Amino acid sequence: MNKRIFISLIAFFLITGCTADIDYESNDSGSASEKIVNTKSSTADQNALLIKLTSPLNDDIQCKLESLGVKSISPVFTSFKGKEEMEIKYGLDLWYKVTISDHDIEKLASDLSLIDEISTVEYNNKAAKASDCIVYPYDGNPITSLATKSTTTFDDPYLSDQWNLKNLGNASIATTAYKGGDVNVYDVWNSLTTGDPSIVVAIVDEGVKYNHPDLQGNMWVNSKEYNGKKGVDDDGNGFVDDIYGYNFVSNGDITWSKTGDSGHGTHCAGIVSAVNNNGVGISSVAGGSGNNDGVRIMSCQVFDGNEGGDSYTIAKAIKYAADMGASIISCSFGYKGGAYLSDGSYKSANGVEMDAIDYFEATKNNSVIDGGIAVFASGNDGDPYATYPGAMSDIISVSAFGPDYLPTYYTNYGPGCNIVAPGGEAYLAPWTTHKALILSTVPCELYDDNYGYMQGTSMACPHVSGIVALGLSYAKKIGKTFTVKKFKELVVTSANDFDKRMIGTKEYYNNAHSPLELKNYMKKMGTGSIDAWLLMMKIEGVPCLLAAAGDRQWLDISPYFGTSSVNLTYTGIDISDKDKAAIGLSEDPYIEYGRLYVYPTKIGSAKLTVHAIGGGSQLGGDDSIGGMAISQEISIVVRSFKSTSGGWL
Amino acid sequence: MAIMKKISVLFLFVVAVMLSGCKKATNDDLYSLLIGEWELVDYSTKSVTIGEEQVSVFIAFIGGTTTNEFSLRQNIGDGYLNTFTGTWTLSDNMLSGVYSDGTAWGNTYVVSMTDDDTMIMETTVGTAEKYTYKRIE
Repeated sequence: MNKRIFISLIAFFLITGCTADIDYESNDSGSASEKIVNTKSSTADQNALLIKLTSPLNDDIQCKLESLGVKSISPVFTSFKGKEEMEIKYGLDLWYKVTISDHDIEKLASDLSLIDEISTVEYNNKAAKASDCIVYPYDGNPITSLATKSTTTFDDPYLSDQWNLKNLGNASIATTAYKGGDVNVYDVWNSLTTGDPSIVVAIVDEGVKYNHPDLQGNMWVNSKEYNGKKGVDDDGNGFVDDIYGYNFVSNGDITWSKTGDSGHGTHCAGIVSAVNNNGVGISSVAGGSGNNDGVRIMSCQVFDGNEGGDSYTIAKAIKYAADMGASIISCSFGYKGGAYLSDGSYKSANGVEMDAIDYFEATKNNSVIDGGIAVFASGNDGDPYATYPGAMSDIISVSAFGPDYLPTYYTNYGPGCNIVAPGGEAYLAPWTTHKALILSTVPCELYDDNYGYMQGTSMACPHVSGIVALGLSYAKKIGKTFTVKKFKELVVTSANDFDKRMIGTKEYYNNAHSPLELKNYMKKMGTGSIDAWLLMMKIEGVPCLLAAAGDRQWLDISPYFGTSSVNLTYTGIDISDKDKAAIGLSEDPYIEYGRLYVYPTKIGSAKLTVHAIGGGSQLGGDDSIGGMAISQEISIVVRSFKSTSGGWL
Repeated sequence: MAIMKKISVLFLFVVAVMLSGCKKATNDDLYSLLIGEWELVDYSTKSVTIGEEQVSVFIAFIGGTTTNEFSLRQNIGDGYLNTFTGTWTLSDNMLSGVYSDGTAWGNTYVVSMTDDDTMIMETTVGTAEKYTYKRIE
């Protein structure tokens, strides 16, 4: 439909000489100035604006737009067969891109805001990748002194250089390397899951080099296009030759080696799902076991050389991910630090993206959860708050730690940061290699190597995306189902205590960076560090807490909130009168130092719901930036006694 | 008249119990009968059963020449089967044990058999609780 509309609308403007009157006096759809929801950044599109209509496009609106000098109008989103109802529900059918030539874009925005049928006028601003985009090619010298092979069956030769997957505290990586400071995925691989090809992760980023020898086997493939004719939209989804995804910048083939490209998308893809156990290169979080069973990577290219990264492109890519089967979008980008400091300000200024994200989160693409999960980088400005969109309170935003299991010098922290994962870090002593950064796949066209090191919350983000994908794979395997909200809560509470080491200062080799005062990060790194094993255990189910009747006692709630439960901010407990009576609670339960106080006087069982903030001390909202609201329902079984080991006897 | 009837019924019940083949196990007999794997099938106190929670408990008592070991698998609530191991001791009909982390069981139990495949464990400390296990192996 859309291409036809697009062409016919252009033709319409050229052929017809329609005129329209814009009533500059009366404006019923809100104040004109309020309709322009953001300010034009220096990198904003100078020739286009994004508008949202109050009702579907009609001749009258077209005429009004033409009278303002609009050159063309086209739908932002490509309608997908069978999804029309959802597109309307989330307002995607009302978004249009208008382009002009030889016209003052700010004047046009002002004029558009006077049209009653337009509710929103957005400048098409640009986001930036959450990495310095510096790649250090792999030095081809894997660590062999500390064998990791004994604990896993994977034969990927560079696995021993991936501290992010198994940190052995090797001082040659960093003299301060911290054993266990990783994502704790080995046991998951060895006994639970290594991925599932039905779970698709969309890398919304630079193009992924889909024919990379360590990625090719785990690329999502659109079989109709793969088996179709070149230059033809074989599956009729509005995109031509979208075999491994699509380039939303050029509207063409996926690319990764233009001037301005860094391999950022390929690097992120490798962290999520480079093929495991193939005797080649690296291992990845959810790359399978070498039996074609890794989660799949879809390349949704929004950066192309020096182009792209704008709201229009990002929004289109996110909708495509939803329509074509992705369950997770891994988004290692964000807006300039401080551009938005509340959920409300982001939502109102980036409605087109927000509508696309909402649509994605509502699209069910697997049997496990009832929608999609968005994961974003928290940003690399070293700011005490996350960048948006990741900072949205209901989106998972990932900060970064280094091989020393401490915050990195670049990571954002504080409100909006939900969890922390390995991001790699330069300048850690002895700084004789680059192994303290994150090793992953890169395009050889750029670096004469298929592997390289990068750092950034951009790298932390796909670790969490991969673990979410592993979680969905495992849930599918054992037949569990969840809501999106519940699954996100499981993810952000599958965390280890990250605050216990926030003491003293962190210094850099040769003073390459000023020391970090670690106390500044205390309670500001989300719920703690992501732990793949903990997530799998939560997916299996969390046992009831056992309590003894007649005792005042404090119950450990870390099985529900992670080992950093002591650091979380708790906002309340709900328990019904019936449940209180069931175990004879004469005093209200409360949380202190991460433990649940109860005084049951009767044998029985009860459920209560504990509310907490996933990252930071305040919830994000229309007027604030903050953490995610998380709730855990806790079951308590009260008997006349309890064993300290937790056993039944 | 009604009281007399109740007393008669009670008397007959007591006699029936005394004359029935209810096994009065010696310690050796009890020890032998205890070996095997048991599944919790019922538990109650005088006032309340444990509400809505699904509780699955399997205990395997393993005899040994020097120590007796047990393997306890439990799923309390919506969780997975969690395994605990340790050692156990039977003294007369008093069953006690220690988990492998060195902590003692939360209670000591009086054990009795209603038949070869049905075991009753009653707590001795605190409010009386009675657990019925069926042999599964």
